[in-house]
Amino acid sequence: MSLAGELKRNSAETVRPAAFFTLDRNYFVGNIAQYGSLFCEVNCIDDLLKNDNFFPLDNPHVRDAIEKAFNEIPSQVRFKHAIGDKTFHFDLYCFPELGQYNSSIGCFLADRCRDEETAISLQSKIDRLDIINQAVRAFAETTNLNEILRIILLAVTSGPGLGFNRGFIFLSDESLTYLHGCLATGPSSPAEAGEIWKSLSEEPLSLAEILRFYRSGESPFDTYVNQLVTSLKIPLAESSSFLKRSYEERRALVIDSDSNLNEDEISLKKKLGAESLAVAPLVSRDSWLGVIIADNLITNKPISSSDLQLLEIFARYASDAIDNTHLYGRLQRKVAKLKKANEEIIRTRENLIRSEKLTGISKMALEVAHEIRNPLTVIGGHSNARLRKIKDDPENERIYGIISKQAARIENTLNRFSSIISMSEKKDSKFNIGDLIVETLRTMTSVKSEKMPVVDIDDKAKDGMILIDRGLFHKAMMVIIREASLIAGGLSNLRLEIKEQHNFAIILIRGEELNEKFAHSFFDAMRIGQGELKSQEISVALEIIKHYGGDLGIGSPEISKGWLIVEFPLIKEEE
Amino acid sequence: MKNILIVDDEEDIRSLYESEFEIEGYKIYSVSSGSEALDFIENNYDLDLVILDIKMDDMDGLEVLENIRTRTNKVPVILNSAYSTYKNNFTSWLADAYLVKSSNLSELKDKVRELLTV
Repeated sequence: MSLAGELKRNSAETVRPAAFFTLDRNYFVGNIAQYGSLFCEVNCIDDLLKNDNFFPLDNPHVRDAIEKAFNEIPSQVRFKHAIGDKTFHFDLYCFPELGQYNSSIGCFLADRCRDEETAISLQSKIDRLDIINQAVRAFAETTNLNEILRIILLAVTSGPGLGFNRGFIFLSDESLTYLHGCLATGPSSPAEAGEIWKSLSEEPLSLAEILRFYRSGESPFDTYVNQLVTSLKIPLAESSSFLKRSYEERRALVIDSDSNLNEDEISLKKKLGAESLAVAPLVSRDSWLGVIIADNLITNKPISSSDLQLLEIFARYASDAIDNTHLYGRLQRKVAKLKKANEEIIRTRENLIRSEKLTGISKMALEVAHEIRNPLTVIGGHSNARLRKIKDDPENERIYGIISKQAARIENTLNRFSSIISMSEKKDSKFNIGDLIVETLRTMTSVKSEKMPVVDIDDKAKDGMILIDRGLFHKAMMVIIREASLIAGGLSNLRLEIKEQHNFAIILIRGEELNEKFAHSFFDAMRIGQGELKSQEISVALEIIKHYGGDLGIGSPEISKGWLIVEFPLIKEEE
Repeated sequence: MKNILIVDDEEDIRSLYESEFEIEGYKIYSVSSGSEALDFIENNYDLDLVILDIKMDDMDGLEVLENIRTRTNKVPVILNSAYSTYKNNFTSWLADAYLVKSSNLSELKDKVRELLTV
């Protein structure tokens, strides 16, 4: 393009069309000079200005400005005037002409139509930006996904918002296998729409108010659309789905009768019921969150390109809001985990300090117990030996009797003391009950070179975890299993079953001869307690089991066959 | 007559057990350490039973027990300790019995009789 041509083009685009002319007392126009090419959409301004109807002399502001100029006061007025079926906008500057007092004035008339169009377009853009702004503000006020989804639908369907009749939200699952219909809003019929819109018109609300008032409650009118949307589950494997296309192209689409659709797409469109659908993708930084579908089922208003553009822009902000709720949820879960871990560390540290103190005390106590037991054995042992040998010496017999009795008394105290010491050294951890039992049996069978008994673990008990000190568990179970194996004639003659019942791990030890007679001798041993070592061991085993909230018992549906029952409380997952 | 070896670093305990088991009719040998016990076992094939203390100065009883078991499974061993806690140590399961020391020797005597009868 030549320089002259360029200048002319710039001039045509930037110079505001205007005209200079004179006006006499009879409002006749003369000396017309035109600037710019098109003035009020006509090439020649002369005809326009000479038209009798051009000046709106019935407009008092226009008349007043002209009169002021006739009285030598320059003035200015902005007015609009309808010519034919169009409205034009003008700025009129009136000023007195030198030497023409009260007979003629000069006028400068500028065409403001283009300014006005720009202003209207600008206002429209501001209004659209405001919709996004209001929605973003509402998004920022909540981290609840349901509220976010409701805000999206309110903004899409409300009059002061995007103004669609209905809106649907589909969200993808984590593995991106399906889109699930989550939430929808909008009337199911023209009658229902009339009812809703009537109630809304009685008390018109701004978009901000609508988002604030309705975001947390479900509308009674949305039942049908919500039933419809939640019944829809769309597989994402469909390569030609318009939902997937919208995601892949990262833009909003209009799906109408002109769209080339496959059978599944036709079926989905039919279910939704509208002739035209607007589909906008919900996309986060790295994945597909879902889609917004909007339509004008009731009004049948065509979906314009600007409607679509606004929906696309809005969907991007909505995607961020949904993504933020996901991130917030993940963050909250991590914070909770960290908090729990921190509490665990504090608890462990306290336990460690306590345990170290106890270990120190225990070691010292063990040494003391050992130092007492050896001389006690010697004193008591010699005393017992002497007692057997004494004849006809009642005084010495009485004295040695006292020594033996007191030695036995101190020994009993030491026995109890020892079992308490071993309990104080415990280090509790989470263990799988099945693993612990198998470990116990493996140790017993390897030491004694025996065959493993059958261990049957119920499906429900397979993941059962208990909190216990591993050494104490082995100690208790070895004593019980050993006693059972002695009666049954060996470890391999036992059968162990582990079940789960009412949050308890139930260990059944079955075997021949574990009958009622055995049960009596077993429990008698526990009651008699302190005398024999075997009894002491059973007592300590029971003490360990009870310490961990468990119990020991016997069941026998038949006289000859029965089972020992050991139970431990299972720990729940969150513990 | 059955031969019994007593292994204990406490002289008074050895002396008590010697007198008590001799009355019962056994031939008693006693040593005061783990290494002496292993030497004795090495040179005496006619040993019938060992009463073994655990906590001793040079070599503990569990180590002695392991050594005995690598040589023979035929000689019964009774662990006899002032500590009950060694029962948590699985090596102690290699012994035929584990008895905590007591002034009442009847349990120990019963166990010796039982093992020697078998």
